[in-house]
Amino acid sequence: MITRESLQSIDPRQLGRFTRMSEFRASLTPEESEAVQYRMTTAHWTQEERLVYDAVQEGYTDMDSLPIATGLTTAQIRSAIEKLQGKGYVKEVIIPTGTELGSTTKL
Amino acid sequence: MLRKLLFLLVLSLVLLLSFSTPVYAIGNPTSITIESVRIFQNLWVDGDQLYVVQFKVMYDPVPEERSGDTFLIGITPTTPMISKPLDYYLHNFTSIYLTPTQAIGWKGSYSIKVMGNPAYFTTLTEAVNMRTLALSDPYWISGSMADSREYLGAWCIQLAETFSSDAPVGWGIDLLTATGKLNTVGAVKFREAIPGLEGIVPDIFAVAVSYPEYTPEEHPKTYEEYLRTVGGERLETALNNLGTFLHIPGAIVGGLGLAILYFVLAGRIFTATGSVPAAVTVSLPFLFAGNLIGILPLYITFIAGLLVLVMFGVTFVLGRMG
Repeated sequence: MITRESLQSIDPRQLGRFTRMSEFRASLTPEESEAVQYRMTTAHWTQEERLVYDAVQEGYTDMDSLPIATGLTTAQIRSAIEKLQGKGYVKEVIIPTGTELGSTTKL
Repeated sequence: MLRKLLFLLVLSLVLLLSFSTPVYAIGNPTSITIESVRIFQNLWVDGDQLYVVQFKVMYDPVPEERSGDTFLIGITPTTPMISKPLDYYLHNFTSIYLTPTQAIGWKGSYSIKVMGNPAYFTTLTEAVNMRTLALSDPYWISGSMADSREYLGAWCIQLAETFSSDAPVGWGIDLLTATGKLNTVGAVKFREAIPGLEGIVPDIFAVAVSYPEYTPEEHPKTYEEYLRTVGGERLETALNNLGTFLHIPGAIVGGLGLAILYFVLAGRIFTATGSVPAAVTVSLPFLFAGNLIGILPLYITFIAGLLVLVMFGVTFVLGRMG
């Protein structure tokens, strides 16, 4: 079964070759399709970027909860956020009561 | 003085930039291993060799650089080194094919090497950015063409099962059908890794394209050639002597003589019947008699017969239409 974990050992270029086949795409369940898309999107990301992105997607959007959710230091989180912002996957939104993060695109 | 210093500074900068060369760099993989190797022989032609190698060149994240630029796989020691660019990073498999001319000594002291490209790695270190596996006896699969193809087919199915397995063993992607044959995804992967595989082991594919074997029909001219020899030496000598006297080849003498007799016969029939088609048609067997005694080539009779048919068609069909 295709999962995010199993696809960690496949080169995204190889996976891209398979995804160009309609038979392969048609055979995927929604969960597998999400896993494939996640792999294609995040293959060149660092582990920190993936952890921060996953945490933001799950709803951990403030700097108080992210270190707990990801297990990373504040500096690592800041660095990952900057890179993700540069790629356009995370956007920092200033709200009156604080700063929250939102993802600009959903998988 | 200041102008001289400025001039020297500009000159040194220009020299530095004009002699600078691009430097490629990539980090070392987190791990690099050769998981399995099998070597097959006599697959497409006698004496060829196929090396099927399963490897892991693990990175996280996957480098932006193409794996074909940064890594290669080869056989050592060979001069020059037999190698090819690596198709993919991470867990995958590929093959190296050697024609009978390129083939190395069977079961010789060779190794398979997966290594970084020296253009990208300043130093190559075993187990860091290079892995070498000595080819011991179990890796060499000896056999005739039929046996080797069967072994290769079985090994391909085994590889497909490995990569179809869930993590951490495989990709979790089904490469096989429920009946144990390569599905469309598996077929794409194996055709890519082992070009021409479908032609020699089509049975492992759920859907395979193959061309039927065709043996062209032979149409020997044995009867025609036999008829030319039945004339015998005496008749041939007589015709040749007559030909020498008339300054024409002996074969033409025979043909001319037969033609004269043919037209005499046809004329006699025409006189009796008043019909040209009848005269020509009834006289045809006379030509065949000439074939049987070897003084007239068989194709002359067939050409004459074809002309009679055409004449009959024109006379009979067009005559009816008139």
